[in-house]
Amino acid sequence: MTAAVDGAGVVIVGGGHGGVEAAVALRLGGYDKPITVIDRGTHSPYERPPLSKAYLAGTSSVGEIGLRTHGYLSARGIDVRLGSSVAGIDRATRQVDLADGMRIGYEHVVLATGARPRQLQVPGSSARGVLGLATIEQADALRSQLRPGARLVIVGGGFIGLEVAATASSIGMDVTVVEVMDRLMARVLSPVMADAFLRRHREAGATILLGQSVEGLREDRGVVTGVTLSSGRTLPADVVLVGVGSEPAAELAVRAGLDTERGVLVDETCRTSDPSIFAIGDLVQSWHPRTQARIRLECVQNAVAQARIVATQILGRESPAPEVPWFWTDQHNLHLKIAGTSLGADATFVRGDPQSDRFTVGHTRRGQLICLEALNRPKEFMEAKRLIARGAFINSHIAEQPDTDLAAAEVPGQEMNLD
Amino acid sequence: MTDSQSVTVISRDGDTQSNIEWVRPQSLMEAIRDNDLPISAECGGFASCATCHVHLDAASYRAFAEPADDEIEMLEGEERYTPGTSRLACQLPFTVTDGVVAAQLASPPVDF
Repeated sequence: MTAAVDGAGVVIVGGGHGGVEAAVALRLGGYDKPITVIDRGTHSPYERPPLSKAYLAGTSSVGEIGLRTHGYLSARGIDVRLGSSVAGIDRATRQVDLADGMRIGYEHVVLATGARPRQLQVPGSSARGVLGLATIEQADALRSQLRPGARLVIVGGGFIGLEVAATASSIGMDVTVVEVMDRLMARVLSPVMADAFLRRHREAGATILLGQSVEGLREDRGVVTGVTLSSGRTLPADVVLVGVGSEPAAELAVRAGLDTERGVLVDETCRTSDPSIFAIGDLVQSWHPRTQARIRLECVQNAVAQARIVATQILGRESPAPEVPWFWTDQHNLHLKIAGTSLGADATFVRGDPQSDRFTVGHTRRGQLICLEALNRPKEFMEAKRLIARGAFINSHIAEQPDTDLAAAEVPGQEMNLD
Repeated sequence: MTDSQSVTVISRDGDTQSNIEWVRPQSLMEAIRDNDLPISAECGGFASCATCHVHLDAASYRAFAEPADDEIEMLEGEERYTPGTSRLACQLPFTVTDGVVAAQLASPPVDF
């Protein structure tokens, strides 16, 4: 392997949650060589979660959703290059090639390019007024179309689509959500939890169509006018939001010859198939000891946790213990926090009344708690993170009693009847 | 309009104190984090993770609006929760108080 270019440091590609956290964690950990963050965008690094909520609603501004200020980063010698993109990585000479022709030597690269919204593969999907949502620019485009009475059709009943549906309904838009599965957020939520969200969105006036797929988009002189379903029905639309999942922005990794499969493949320490190149966040398929599987997690928590792992790896220190991943979504008055993932669960329990807007669904595998969906019950979410982290066994019958603490349902492992 | 407020940040174990300037428009969490003190603040300021839990002195506690129900419930799930002193620092907008704000970190620190 070629030695690093003299004085070369870390080049981080992508200035989102993961990229910025990696830069800061390296510097705070005492890394004294150059740190460069390359980002395609023209905005100073910012938070993504508000884009479908407070920022979209206009209750928070660009200035309020910043990740770290320019002043903070530059004072710590973190060189953030906005409006810049990477053409390729020359692994033999350990240099990153920028699109503008500059080259930066490195001892480590951290890929943090994230994921981008998947596009609809149907006729008409490139018409004007058909939008995705992942960046400030896309949020601005969507925001400019939000007005009372206008017709918004959302393709996809996942987190992003439904957060936008809540924001749009609350300002009096005419909202329709089209979901191909027979329930909302099917990939991550239990059916009983999905039902609570379905009821709330309908109460707020949104039309939710389940088990319906989109055949094509209608347009008039290049501007979208409607969404045609496979049933033949056409929903008139002034604007269409596509929220049908994301795909990892792995092109650079592919060009660099790194191993990829529905994302960049990394080990527990976030190393790619080239040990001097790390990858983190929504971009990666990483081995998670808790789930005993390779998974791609799309959440702030995972991006930040992996950034901190990479920083310790580069600094030659012990990495923090793997965290229980967690997620959240806010739609209307429903604040849902999920600890863990339900992958591989073999039993489920419900705490509280599932017809209400305050209950919890737990998932266990061979008696051990692996996931908890807490609707407007943040205390149980906090408890569940700790219980999952230590592999606690839960007696479901005790857990389902409404007036007991979740922690009171913990039992010693040997008392569980596992067969 | 005053745009700066002094804050004394006490470490979780109580052994060290740092004096920092809290400036508009930072939340208290951002002021602590951006002075490179060991606060994890994982979710970035949405009252979603309770990794910016602090204990405030009594006078400072009274200087802020009461916590929302959600924040109280998050705090109740914290090991070091004490009613009347515990807050999530991300939920404290820039505020000028009569004296110095004293805040002791209560969440497990991030260790770089």
